[in-house]
Amino acid sequence: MSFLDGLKISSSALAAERVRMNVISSNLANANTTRTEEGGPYKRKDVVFTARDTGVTFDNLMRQAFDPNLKEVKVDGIVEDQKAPKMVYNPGHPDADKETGMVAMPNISVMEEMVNMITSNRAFEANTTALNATKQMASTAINIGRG
Amino acid sequence: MKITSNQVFAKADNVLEESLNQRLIKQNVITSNISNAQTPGYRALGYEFEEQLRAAVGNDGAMSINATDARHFKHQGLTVNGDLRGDLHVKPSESVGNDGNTVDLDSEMADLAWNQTLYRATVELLNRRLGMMRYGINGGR
Repeated sequence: MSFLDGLKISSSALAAERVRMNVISSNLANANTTRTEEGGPYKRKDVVFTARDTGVTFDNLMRQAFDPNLKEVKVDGIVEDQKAPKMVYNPGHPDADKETGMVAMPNISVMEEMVNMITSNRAFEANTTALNATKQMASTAINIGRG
Repeated sequence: MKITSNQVFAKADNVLEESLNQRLIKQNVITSNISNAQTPGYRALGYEFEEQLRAAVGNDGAMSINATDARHFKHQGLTVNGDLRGDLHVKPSESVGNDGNTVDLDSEMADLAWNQTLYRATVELLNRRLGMMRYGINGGR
């Protein structure tokens, strides 16, 4: 158990939040994309976080019987939202259905993405605070005996 | 005359030092909770060590672990190396989110600030004691 553990945990969360932020950016940027490589409109992406034991080394596994099971965050994967595409009537659109005039638009709600973005932002800030707190404690410890 | 470290450092120094170790563990537990505030199914952990530390200090001169059973090994004075085991537990939570996550970010942030402050306070106390020792070594100069 050292300062490095705390710093590692915080930085894992910062990295994970950054991935989430990128995914949200991708969703917002593609809110109107009707063509993708797989065909059809863009599908909303979402990250899945999973808690993982810190520092999976032999030494750590041995100590795990006693040591707190602290978890860092890992991005388990990026999954596609399987919601049906939004159907919008727009006969002038090049991708509109010839008979009905409906266009399949991405299943993205801009509001939802904005809310997720703010949540992610706050989580990032919280983890930065935690990281700074740990860093500050470490530098306090360095000054033991200098009083 | 041979001087041992026990004669130089008082019990209080050991308590302060162990307290720093424990605060660090607590810091890492809180950090783990904050990091996993968005992880589905993560259960917030709590860490308490004050009781254990108090019990380990006892009321005699030496830092020792109180044996609650006669068959327990008698621990001869706690060495300050993180031997003290605080109580790590899954926090009881009345509010569980849709994703099964029980982290209350606000209270974790408050705990973080509080733990950090107490860590600094402990270092400050340790510094004062070391300062007094230095004062003595220098003959009051």
